Amino acid sequence: MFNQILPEAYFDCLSIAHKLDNFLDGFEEKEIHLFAYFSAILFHYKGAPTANWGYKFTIDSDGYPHAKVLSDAIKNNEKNGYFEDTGSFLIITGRGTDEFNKFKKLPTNKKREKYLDAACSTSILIPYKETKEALLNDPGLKKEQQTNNQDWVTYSNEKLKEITTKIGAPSDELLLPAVSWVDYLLKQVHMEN
Amino acid sequence: MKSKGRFNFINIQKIKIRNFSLYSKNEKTTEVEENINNGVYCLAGANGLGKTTFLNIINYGLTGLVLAPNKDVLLPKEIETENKSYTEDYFKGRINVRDYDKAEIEITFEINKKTYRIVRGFDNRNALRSFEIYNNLDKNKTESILNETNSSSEELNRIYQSSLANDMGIGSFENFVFFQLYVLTFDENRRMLFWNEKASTNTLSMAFNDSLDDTERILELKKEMEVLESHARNARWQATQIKKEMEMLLNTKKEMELLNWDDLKKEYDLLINIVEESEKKFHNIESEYDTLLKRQNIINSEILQYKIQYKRLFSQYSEPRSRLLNNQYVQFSKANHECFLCGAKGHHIIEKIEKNLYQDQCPICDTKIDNDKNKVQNQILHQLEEIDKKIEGKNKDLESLIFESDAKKVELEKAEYNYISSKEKLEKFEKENSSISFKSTGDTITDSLLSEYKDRFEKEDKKADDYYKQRDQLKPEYENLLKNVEENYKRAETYFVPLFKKLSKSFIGLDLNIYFQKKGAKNIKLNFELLGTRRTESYQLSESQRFFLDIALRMTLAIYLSKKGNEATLLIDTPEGSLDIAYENRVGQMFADFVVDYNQNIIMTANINASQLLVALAKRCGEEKMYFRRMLEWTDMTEIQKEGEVLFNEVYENIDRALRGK
Repeated sequence: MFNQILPEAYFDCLSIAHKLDNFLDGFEEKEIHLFAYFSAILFHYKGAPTANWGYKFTIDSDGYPHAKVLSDAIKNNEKNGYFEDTGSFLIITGRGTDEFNKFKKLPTNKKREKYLDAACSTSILIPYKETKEALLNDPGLKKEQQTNNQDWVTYSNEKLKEITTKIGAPSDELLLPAVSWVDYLLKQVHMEN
Repeated sequence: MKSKGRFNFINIQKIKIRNFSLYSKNEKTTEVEENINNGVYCLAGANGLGKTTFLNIINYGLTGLVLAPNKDVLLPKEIETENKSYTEDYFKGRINVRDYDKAEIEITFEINKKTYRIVRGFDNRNALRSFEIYNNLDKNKTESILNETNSSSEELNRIYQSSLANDMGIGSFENFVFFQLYVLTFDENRRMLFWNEKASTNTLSMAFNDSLDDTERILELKKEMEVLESHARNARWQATQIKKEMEMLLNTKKEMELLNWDDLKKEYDLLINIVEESEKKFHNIESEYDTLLKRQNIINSEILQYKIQYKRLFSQYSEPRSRLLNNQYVQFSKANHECFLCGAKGHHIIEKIEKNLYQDQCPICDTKIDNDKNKVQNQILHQLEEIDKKIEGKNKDLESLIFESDAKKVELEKAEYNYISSKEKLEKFEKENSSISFKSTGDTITDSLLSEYKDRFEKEDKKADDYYKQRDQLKPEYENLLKNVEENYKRAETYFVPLFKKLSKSFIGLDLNIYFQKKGAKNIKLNFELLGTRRTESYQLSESQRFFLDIALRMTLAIYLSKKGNEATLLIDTPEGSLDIAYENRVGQMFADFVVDYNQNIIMTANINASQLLVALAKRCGEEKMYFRRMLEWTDMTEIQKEGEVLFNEVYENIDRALRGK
């Protein structure tokens, strides 16, 4: 089966893998999808049309976002020795890091990198387990689970905009909105429990 | 999310039809007086007795209109103008001339904690012979809260229209008429709501807008844009004709060739048609392609899930299963390369211990220690095999989907090419006909005529441009309003979608996906996706499947939109149609869900046949939620019907038994 690799997905999984591996020593494939989804939310939050992200997500049976193009890129990266499967998780190899450094210089990727970086950097400020728990509680993902409609996940950023307006986040900054969003979602999780 | 409802729908209590000659028995007109129960009211009778007329009478009583068959769906504002003459003719053949002035329909219904009683004659559809409103909170309910004793019957009708629109909360009486006739009525014309882009745009913009003003604006803008577009085309055509006239003046030889303007007009219309068709086709294929990509994504996520499960199970399978694995002495030996019993040292000690453990034997006495192991391993192996089969199956699905998507992509590119090139052809045609060089002929009379033609040509050409410009100016506002409808729909999805899925599943037995589609920014509609078959388009469903999915959507809208205590009433004309017995049973269940689980109402008609639909419905509803009315009591039967009376009675009794058996 021949799969053409989408350049956006190729770069996104290298970038996310590089960051998660740095912070956490390894990552799972699902986490790449999750953080790519979070990056797309931030991209959309900044007013860009969702279609410009390059690919869309559905949800899997565990409530994680899923994009086939990311899966294809991950498989490709494993084949090329950029990622290594240690059995329980994946790691990025030296070659993978080199590849990421090469590609992040491209102008289009530089733009993406802002969002990917903000999404992954939340894990420095908020414990990773909690970040993950929060992101899985994202309203777009939750809605897809509730309707069980097998549609593309839609991004809803009204609440995020409301939060950032309230705290007065600078318009060119992304980490603050990202952290505020995770924080907000986390509070929702605790309230539900 | 729970829906709070948006509209108060009417709940019909009583219907009286007086002097309506179609309903006559033994040469005497039957005075129909029907108490309408909550739940299902089913009027059953043989063919030709006036069942459909009964539903039309109800709608006429409420709206003053009967919809003419075979007409395209109209905007709420156009419904009256387009159907009034049909309405006036409709009853003429059904009421004797001598009864025409006397014939009338009286409807009593509840809405918004009030009871309305209206009487409308068939001689003047714009008037009410009587109109009263009672406050339901007033226990005596003896006096109408309307104080309009001196009003003319036309005035009464106007007061009725505004009071009803107000109590329903639907903005205007025209909106009520649209909802009543197109959404809440499924009549013999089988007008599809959701496979008709005009109907779905009207309905969705009414159902999913924060403000009814926005709905009005959407419909206004849509109409305005269509009108401007048509004006622009007419002006351009006019310009083309003038140009041809000029050419004829200039060249008599050419004149002969160009005499047949009709051909040119035909060519122009054909080009417009091709653009519209190719645009529609392109968007449809685009949507199908998107669905294929989505299915690929979903199947891929399933494969990934299975692979994770497989990995987990396999690691369980490949682990040594001995209970002694975690034994502290064994751990000690492994850590220190030393026998925990005799203290002997060396790597061979570990090897020996591990070998025994892998063989499920005690490292000391070689006794078999885990007899269950093989069983467990076999179980895991079996599970691995099952998952592997699933992965293989899914991979095959994925492969064929990718294959299908590739083919669809080619189709899409072709459709896009056709669309663009058809647009270019049209533009070229228009351009060719707008650029003309004007020569003088040397003949003063012809020259002055030519100059007049030139002026007229330029005027028409400019007009066409202006109309197109005006249309384009309206587009952003229209698109923005449609976006709001889409966003509101998205917000309502958590309630709306599962509800529709539940109702449609009880009928079709399969999971359906439903999603909002805004394509080409002209219309909005809901799209279906039948799972398991990867089919999206309407033509991929059978006609009867489409009918009942359309009814399921109307039911979903009714439940979603009705406020508590003001549930809707659906009018459904002989729904059994071409269903086979299995589907009849399922439709019966779907109707029963609608009335039993959601407290909504149905007024329906049915043929007398051994319909499983009615039996299933009667069983679920029981006497409390369903009334089965024999129409034979209203009218004379034909000889054939008389002959079959025994059979009719059998059917009635069968349904009666089902009703009592609850």
